[in-house]
Amino acid sequence: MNGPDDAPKTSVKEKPVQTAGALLPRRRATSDIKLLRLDLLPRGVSPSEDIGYEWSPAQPTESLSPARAAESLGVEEWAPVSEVRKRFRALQLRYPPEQFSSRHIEWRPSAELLGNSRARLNWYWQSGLVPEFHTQKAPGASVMWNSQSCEPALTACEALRRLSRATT
Amino acid sequence: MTEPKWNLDLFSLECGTPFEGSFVKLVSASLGAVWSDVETALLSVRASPSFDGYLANYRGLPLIPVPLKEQLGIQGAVGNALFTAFSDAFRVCAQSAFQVPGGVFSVPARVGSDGQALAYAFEGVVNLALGLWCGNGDRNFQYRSVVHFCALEGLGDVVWGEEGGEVAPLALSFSEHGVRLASPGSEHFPVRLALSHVLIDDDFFNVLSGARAAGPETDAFLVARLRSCQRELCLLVDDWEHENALLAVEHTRLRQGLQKASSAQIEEAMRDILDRMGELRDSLSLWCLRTFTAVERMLGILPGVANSVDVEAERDALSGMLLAGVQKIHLPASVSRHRYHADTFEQLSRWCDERLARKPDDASTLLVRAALASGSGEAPDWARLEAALRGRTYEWSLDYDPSSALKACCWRLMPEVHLVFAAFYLVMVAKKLHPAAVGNFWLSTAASVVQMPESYPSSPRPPPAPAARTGKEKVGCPASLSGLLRLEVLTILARPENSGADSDCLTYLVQAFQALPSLESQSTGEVST
Repeated sequence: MNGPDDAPKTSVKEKPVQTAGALLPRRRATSDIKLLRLDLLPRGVSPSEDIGYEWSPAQPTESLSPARAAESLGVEEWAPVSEVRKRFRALQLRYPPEQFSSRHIEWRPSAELLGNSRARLNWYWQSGLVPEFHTQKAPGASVMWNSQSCEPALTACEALRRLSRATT
Repeated sequence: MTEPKWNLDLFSLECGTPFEGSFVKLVSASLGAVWSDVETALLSVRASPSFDGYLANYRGLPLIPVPLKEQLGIQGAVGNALFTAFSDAFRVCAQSAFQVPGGVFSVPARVGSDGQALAYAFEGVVNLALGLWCGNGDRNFQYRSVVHFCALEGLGDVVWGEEGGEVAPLALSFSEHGVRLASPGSEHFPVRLALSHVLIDDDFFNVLSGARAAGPETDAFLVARLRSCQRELCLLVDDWEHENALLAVEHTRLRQGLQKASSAQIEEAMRDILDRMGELRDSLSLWCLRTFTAVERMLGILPGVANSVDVEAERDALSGMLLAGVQKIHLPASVSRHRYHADTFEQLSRWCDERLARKPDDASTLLVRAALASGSGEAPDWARLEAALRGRTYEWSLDYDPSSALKACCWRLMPEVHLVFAAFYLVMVAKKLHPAAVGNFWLSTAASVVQMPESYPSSPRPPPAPAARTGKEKVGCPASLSGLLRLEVLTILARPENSGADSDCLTYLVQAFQALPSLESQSTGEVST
């Protein structure tokens, strides 16, 4: 008697947001978690115009992760800001909000998160994860963001190599 | 384009004892050659059966017991391997630095002072590399956890020179914060080279100096590099918070252990703890601020090099990240009343200078810079502050909340000068607020800024700014400006919108700011409305 609507119920379970190997948990401090705030609030929330004040009561913007946002917009998680905005504009023109408001409910916050480097950085910081940059794009496929231009995490070896090559 | 007006010599931006650039390069080359040995030595801890369990519970403090037999077994192996690798690397550097045939020093006096500089550079580079190292992609498996597991703290030996010989002996020893290379028995906090030298390497330098042509590839490089700068600075701030948290935990533990001791003993021991914490905080803050200053300069150069939307977005995020990091540096002072060392304040002033060169309308930094200048006995830029005060509110911006910075340096100022800065702070915040009510949060922040100097405990160190006491006429606020400030701040506090605010706080502030000299009591007639 397994109806067709029984099966999805279990598989609809949310996918884990981070893919294995893409993210490393940051080392946790022994103190209270609130010390780990970066306080990169959007401008205009407090009279301070560039960043917010310490101990601000603001929370991370949405319960939305960059990975999920990228999936919903159909761009790469580390796509440059201009690419994200272009994609959102294309979606907006093709599927106007008055006809597909249900989609825009997901697209708009996704574009806000990925189209704003500050917001994305803040998301990583507040989630306690270290971002690892990655892309599937071959060097020819995109000029701005390809597998050649994304940098791996800085290691001791790389640091020594750079220092020993310095000309200044 | 135009002549490069920016100097990109990162070493010249650093306060405190400077690193010698050529030595840094030399040391990195010789360390790079032995780094795989260092890595093997650090990773060999895993041979110990209880290490995995240790690491799972490890949080940065040596609180987890390790079976003694196992510890002693691994201690010799790991310690010796690390020691050999480092001392070999140092000998190679020293020999090539001084070009001594056969290892005999022909000019001992020169080698003596240069040897110190080389050792300093060596310590800096080793500790930077060790700080970036982690085993198996696990950020918990670090040099520090190895030191704690093997109890390497304090172990070490002489690597260079000899007692009574022509060259003063240099000893290499391990500590949880890094490797020390100095005269034997030295207990100083290990120095680190600023991270900025790695972030702004030759490739980046070529872009900034205009040697590499602008274009999509350059923009792609910049986006990638700015993102990795963001990540590394996040990790740097995380390190800063982690180490501060460890200090706080250690401090609490020691204090709890002292409960049974007599009060004289407690006072003595507390002073020791505070001194040690102070040294750690001073070195850590200097290390972070050196990086921040260099990155700030880099951010200033970038717009002349690339103006794509993507680079601009990453640059803006990095700029906000940097400000948040600098704000964190003030916390030990504004929360735990730590008195920073003069080097830290000097480095902070340089950061302010870089920031003001990039954003001349940033009134927060202008105020902090003035307070820092006044603390070190220089004349603050009163004219610029006054221009901001008299100008329209859209002509300047309050980029961040400067209260914690004002709290951190208030103990170096004369009380009346501090009051002037506190009044400036309240006026600036009030001018930026809409609607006009200041609100309890900002009023109490302003009150805490006013109160801060008296909340610092009497100093175990002598107050380091004698210039501020003698050069009163130089740092004192012009009478017309303080009169104007008094008028402004009292007007703001008397606004009907603020009548609903906490009355104690309001009364306190009104009383405090009435101590500013008023306009009527001055003979200068130049002030209007």
